[in-house]
Amino acid sequence: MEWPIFQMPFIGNRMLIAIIGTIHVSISHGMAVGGSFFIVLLHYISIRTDNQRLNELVFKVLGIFFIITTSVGALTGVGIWLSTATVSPGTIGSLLHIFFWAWFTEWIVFVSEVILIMFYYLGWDKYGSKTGFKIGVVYVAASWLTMMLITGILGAMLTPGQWLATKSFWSGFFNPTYVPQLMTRTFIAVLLSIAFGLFITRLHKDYRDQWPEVWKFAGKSLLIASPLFLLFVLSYYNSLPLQISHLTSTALMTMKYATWAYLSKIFYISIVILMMIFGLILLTKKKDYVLLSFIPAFLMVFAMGNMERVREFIRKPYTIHQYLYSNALREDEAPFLNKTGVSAHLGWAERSAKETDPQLRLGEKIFKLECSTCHTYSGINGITKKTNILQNPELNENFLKTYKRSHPFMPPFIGTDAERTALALYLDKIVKEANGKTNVQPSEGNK
Amino acid sequence: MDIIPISLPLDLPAPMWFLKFALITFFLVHILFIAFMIGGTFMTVFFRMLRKEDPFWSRMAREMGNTVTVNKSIAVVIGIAPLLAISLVYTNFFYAANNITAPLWLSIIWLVALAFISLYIYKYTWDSTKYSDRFKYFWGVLAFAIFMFVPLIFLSNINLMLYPDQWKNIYGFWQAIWAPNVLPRYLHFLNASVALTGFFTLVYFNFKLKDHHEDAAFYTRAKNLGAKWAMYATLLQLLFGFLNYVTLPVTADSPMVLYLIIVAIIVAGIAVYLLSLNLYAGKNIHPIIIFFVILVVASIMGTLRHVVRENALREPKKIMAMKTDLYRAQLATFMKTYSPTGEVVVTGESVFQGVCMACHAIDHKVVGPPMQYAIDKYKNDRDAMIQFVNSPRKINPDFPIMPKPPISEKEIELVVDYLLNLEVGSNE
Ligand code: HEC
Ligand code: HEC
Repeated sequence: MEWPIFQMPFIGNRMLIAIIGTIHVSISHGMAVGGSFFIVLLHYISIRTDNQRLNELVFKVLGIFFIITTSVGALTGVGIWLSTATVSPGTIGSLLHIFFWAWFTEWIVFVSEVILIMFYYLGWDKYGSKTGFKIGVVYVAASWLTMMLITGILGAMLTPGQWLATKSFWSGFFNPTYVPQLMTRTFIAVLLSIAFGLFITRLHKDYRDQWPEVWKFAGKSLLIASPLFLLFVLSYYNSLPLQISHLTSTALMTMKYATWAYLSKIFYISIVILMMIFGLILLTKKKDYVLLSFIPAFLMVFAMGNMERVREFIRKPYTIHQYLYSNALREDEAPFLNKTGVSAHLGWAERSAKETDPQLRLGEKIFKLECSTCHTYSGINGITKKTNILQNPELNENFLKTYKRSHPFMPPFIGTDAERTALALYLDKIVKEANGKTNVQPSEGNK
Repeated sequence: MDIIPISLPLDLPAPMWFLKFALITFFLVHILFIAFMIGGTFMTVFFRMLRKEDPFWSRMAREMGNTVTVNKSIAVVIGIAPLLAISLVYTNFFYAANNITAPLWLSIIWLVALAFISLYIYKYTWDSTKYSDRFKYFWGVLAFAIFMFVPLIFLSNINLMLYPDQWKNIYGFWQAIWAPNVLPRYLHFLNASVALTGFFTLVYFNFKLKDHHEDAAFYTRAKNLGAKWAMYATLLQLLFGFLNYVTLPVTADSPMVLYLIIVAIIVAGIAVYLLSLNLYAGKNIHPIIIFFVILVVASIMGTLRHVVRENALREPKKIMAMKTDLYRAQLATFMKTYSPTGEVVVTGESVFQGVCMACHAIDHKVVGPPMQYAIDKYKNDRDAMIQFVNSPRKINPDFPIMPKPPISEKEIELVVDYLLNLEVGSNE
């Protein structure tokens, strides 16, 4: 309770996290987990065929992976901590209490991963191919282990399963979506790394003679990995909690969700078909098509982003399913706060409040506490753009009373009747201010 | 103080001593590598840029550049452990401070990423003839400038965390750095980085010297340079340490702090003495031994910071605990009678038991004074008592200030009436 409030202007808090998260996940999956695999396999081919030029090219590609993972990759990783804790300290604090050991273990594996890549890359010449290759294999294992651990944590936030009852770590960790999600991530990592690998290889024009080797390898890998990815991504979708569709009263939501899930499936199927076509072209033609060097990378980052969005979306209105709402209020304390009000807990909202009229100011602070996690003022998901709903104080108040049923992806309004009125008035004021009075139905008549 | 968040209703995942131990230890490792990174970056950039007359310097710059590539990455990954630990040990205080400096705090992400990329550009264009010197130096200097700035963000944050009474008045990083202890600590840290890089250089080149006897001239000179940096910066640290100590806010101070400082000075003195023997008396004390001595100093410093944190947060933690207990007690009472449909009957007694008893008993002191005392005091002044409970002020110097109980006026009246009408033997 009473956590500090942070409002990212314009793009909003969630987008901020999404941007940092997508960059990080693309790099860590594509260049570390999948990338290590891609490199080590090519490294192996170069040893087996005794191809020194290919070996050099592999080293060059590894160099780019190394530079990016140890700079942007590592920092966005830390950035996820810094940004999520700033945006929702209550949530991250709670997660940390529950999953500390998973993160601590992940950290140990992560440290070894970084040390391994330094030995592998910086010691490329020193250790020679054979020993170097062995280091590479251990590096692959360590990278995958980090993913194995972090998936448990992410999954537990989504489908905590038994954790809610037992509050025990393992039941949260090995939750119902664990295996499908891990496998989906593994294969998305493989596909991403092929896509990045194609792109980076093409940048090394002095090694043009070796490109066909890479195309052949990438083509084969694409043909093998894409169907597996599809299999796992579909099983992942099927393991997601479907209780939302049981709420018949929430027709709108169900529709949205169903259409959207359906579209996602089509989306993944098309991506996979495309990737397989690319694979075939690469394998049979072994030629360099400019398009083929970046379209896969682009598509896969997009797919990755979409997958992360599924998770975020499904999770609403919670950050820990049925325990903690997105705005860091707990489900179990809601009835209490509905009676006693949230006014006593607005110290941090007070810091940045601007309104002078006491009632409006109260409304503003409640907005900061309960809504600003997901809504900006006029940027992404901006509250002042919701003119279809927020037309006048009475309608606003009605909406606040009923949206728990109609819009179940938002945490219900929490607070007393007086606080609800204050919020309704404040919403009315900012909507009108932002839109000019004409856009909105006049409310004077109702007063 | 009243904006210290209420604690989370979850158990700590590990014993407190473990978390504190992890915090101190891993932070120490982290900060050592950070120091090596900053000092190393200085050497790799400025030795090459400013001292072209003698090939020793450009060679030195290049060799240090290689260590920075490794040290910076270790510094970052190791840093995650203390970040996790501090988020658990000081959850509410740490997150609150982060929030106040948020834009700068978050900029650490892209600033450091930019610095690392700049360093790679600097390193991998070293021998290239395609780029001008100016281009190369630009990236080196940029990385160094960022490395100099980022510690200031951390320091202002970690300092702000310790003084919740200032949260109300501080809006953002640029205000937070002017708190008394921040800039002196920053200087103290920078000079420590110089010293530690000196020790690192000494050990590192001593190590290389063993493998490459053919290059003894270079490695010996490099090693001695490190020893000099180590020795003089350690001596200079007396001054910065003094500045740091005198600006330490009183709430953070205690005799223990002074004891630790004295021990640290003595041990650091030993390190300086050993270094001077090597440098000026022709002795050959193994650098690892000297490094070990300075590690002891660094550990004492790390412990000292911990003592400071605990001192400064002693009162704020009490207030937080009081707020938390109060909130939980109310929540629990409410839940006992709560049913999703029915209305709940409140009485003065239930309010007292549910709320006030978290801190008060009738006839003895708990967190707050015995209620008997209050009953006697307000016997004939019901309104003053209501007034007090509604907006508590600091009254008795022996007690912390009472937090405002989040109950309605109606409930306050009920509980006050209940208390004032209690049939307990008064002291008259
Ligand atoms: C969990 C994040 C979240 C929180 C917290 C949240 N909302 Fe929303 N809200 C959403 C999303 C997502 C939408 C739908 C955006 C869209 O239409 O694509 C939405 C839509 C709305 C709409 C428009 C509904 C419609 O049918 O067009 C209103 C009005 C609204 N929110 C008000 C609020 C208010 C007031 C609060 C605070 C009490 C709040 N929201 C808190 C996520 C949230
Ligand atoms: C979180 C702990 C806490 C709770 C809960 C709490 N108090 Fe207190 N109370 C204190 C402390 C501490 C003091 C001493 C304040 C001082 O002397 O500055 C105090 C002092 C008082 C006093 C004496 C004021 C004076 O004039 O010296 C009264 C009366 C009092 N509390 C009433 C209540 C009532 C009634 C409740 C329940 C609604 C309550 N308190 C709940 C901590 C608490």
